[in-house]
Formats: sequence, structure tokens, C-alpha cells
Amino acid sequence: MVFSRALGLTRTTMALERRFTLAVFSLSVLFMCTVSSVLGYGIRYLFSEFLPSASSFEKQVSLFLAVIVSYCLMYLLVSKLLPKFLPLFSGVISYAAFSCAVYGTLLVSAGKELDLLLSLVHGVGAGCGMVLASMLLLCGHRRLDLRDVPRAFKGMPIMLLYIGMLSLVLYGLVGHNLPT
Amino acid sequence: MKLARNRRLHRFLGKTEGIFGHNAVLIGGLALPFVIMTAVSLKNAAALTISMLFSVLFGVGAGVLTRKIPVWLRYVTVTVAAMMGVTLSRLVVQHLNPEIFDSIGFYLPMMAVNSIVLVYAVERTRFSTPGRSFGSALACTAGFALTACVVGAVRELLLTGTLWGNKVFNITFPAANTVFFGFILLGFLGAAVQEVRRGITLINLRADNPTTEDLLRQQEERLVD
Repeated sequence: MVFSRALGLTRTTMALERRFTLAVFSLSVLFMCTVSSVLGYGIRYLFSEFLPSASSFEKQVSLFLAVIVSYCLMYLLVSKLLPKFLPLFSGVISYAAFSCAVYGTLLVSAGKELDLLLSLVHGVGAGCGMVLASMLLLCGHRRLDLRDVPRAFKGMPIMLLYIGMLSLVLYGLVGHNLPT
Repeated sequence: MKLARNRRLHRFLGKTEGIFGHNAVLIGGLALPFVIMTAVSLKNAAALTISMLFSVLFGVGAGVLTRKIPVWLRYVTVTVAAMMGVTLSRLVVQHLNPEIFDSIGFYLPMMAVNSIVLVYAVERTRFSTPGRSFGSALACTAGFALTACVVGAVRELLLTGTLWGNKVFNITFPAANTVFFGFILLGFLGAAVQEVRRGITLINLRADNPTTEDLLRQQEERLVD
């Protein structure tokens, strides 16, 4: 999601320096992707049964309901099971829930018309990918902070170049060829 | 040390925060997916700007109206309002080019959860007046528009040699359509902006505080004249 579609990538993702905060962020995205993928499949099923003539944009907008319900569920679970963490991380959890990665995962699985099991696998996979990408970004951020980067490239520019290089590497590893 | 010119520069950058001072995309790192993935032509950039404007206006409006409710619930109201704005923007965008929805794809509905809306509609409205909230959000949208249009124009020129569909020169560089090209282009643009700002600051400092060599050179030039 991060390196091939640039989803879930904001300054927050790139600037998170504490491992625990990053872990909370990426695990929130994993939970949201998993739960919302199941709910999203349900919404698609309802559309196919009762509103088959709905346009793709209407279906995409309705899928947002899955994100909202998953977010409310996650907030309820955290407030009941981990009430001490809620004041510290409510902002991170909310930001993770309404990131492009979660909604984008839903839209991608809707576009591919995946069934329930594949949607769930896709959601879990996207969430795990986000966890891995966050770890790579954190490692890169720390190493780049220690390097003698040219002044013009310090901060966001060098992080964008780093992510661009990673994206290029993964583009080649997956098996794509450069377009000619 | 005299800093009059640099103070003027900082005042200007402060007034244009989000556009030139601390650009929302290049320095702030907001709304990156839309610029990287879908700003591959100037028309796409214009469509993204219109959608961003609608989503930000609706989102910040909802954020201002719902300041009293708990923060976690405001995320829901703001994003729902932003989604309504994006749905309305579709009516305007389709006049640009009906085929634009094929190239933007699912990134259009995702405008409702872009980070500019989340930051400016949920976080900033808690501590600012409504006028300031709208002003800073619109400045951020202008910064996004500027960056998206520059990136879109460069990529369209490299991809097809056209600008807004009009042929400029014969060139094709298909890799400009890829995601890693978007990241690398944005990185270099951000570096260029930082370097230009640093250069202007240095020029202003030199102009306000000439060195001994500069003063001697100016004296020699006056004697020659």
C-alpha cells in the first residue's frame, strides 16, 4: 500500500520517532483494515442484492460507512480494555483509522470484487504491509538523521527520496519492467 | 547585525504559510498520495484542487460547528462532511473532462480522508477562531494546488510532451507515470524550495550586512566612476 500506491503516507507516518507510538499507529491500521474489509464486503453484498444499478462512486462512498463503524468499534474496545492508553494515544488511533491506507484497502478490494475470504486476507495483508512499511520508514528515518545529508535535502525531501528508492526496488522485485 | 530584509521575508512567509512558507505538501508532508499517484497531468491536478477545496471547506465548516463534541467523534463528523463536499465536487470536475474519473480512480472519494482535512478541520479548529481556521485551511489548499499543478505539468510534459492537452514538444518518458518517479520528483522539488529559501536569506543577509571585501570593492567602483 505504501510503496506501490503511496497510501497511508503523511508526515505523521514519516516523522514518528518513538517505536511504541509507531507500533500503536500501525497496529491500529492493521485492526482497521481487517475489520473494515469484512464490513466492506457486507456493504458490497447488500449493494449487489438490493441496489445492483448503483454507480461505482456511490458504492465507494458507501464503503466509508465500514471505516466509521470499525473506528467506533476500535475506540470502544480500547476504552474498555485499555483505558489507561486512551488519553495518550487517542489522536494516533483516530489518525490511523481515518488514513488513506484503511479506506484505500477497502476501495482496492471493492475494485477487484473480492469475495469474503479474499477481502479478509487482503485487509490483513494490507495491515501487515503497513506495519512492515512503518518499520522500514522508522529505520530509514533514524539512519538518515545520523548521516551527513546536504542541507537542502534535510527533513522531508530526503525521506521522500528514500521512499522513492524503496518503491523502485519493490517495483523491480515484484517483477514489473520500466515502461518504454 | 542588520536583519531588516530577512524580517520582511519572514513576515511574508508567515502570511503565506501553507503556500510559500512551510508548503503543505513539500514541507508539511500532507496529502502526499494524491500528488504522487494522480497528479500526472495538469487537468488531473486541477480536478484534485477542486475536490480538495470542496472537501476542506465542508470539513472545516463541520469542524467549526462541532467544536463542543468529543474529539474522537469529530473525526467522524468532519470526514462525513468532507465526503459530502467531495460528492458535490464531482459535478464541477466532470465539466473539466468526463474521462478524468478514469485516471483519478478511487483517489477522488479518498479526498474525504486526506490529511489536510484531518489536521485543519479536527485539530486546528479546537484552538483557533473560525476565520483563522478557514484562512489557514484555504492557504494549505492553495499550497497543495501549487504543488499539484507544478508536479502535474512536469509529469505531463515528460509523459506525452503536452500541457493541458496541447502539444508542446515531442518527448516521451513513460517512467514519469510511475509512483517512484512521483516520490523522487517531490523530494527534489522540496529540496529546491528549501535551497531557494536559504539562498534568498543569504542574499538578504549579505545585502544588509556587506563584508569588508564588499565595502572595499564598492569604494574602488566609486573611485573608478
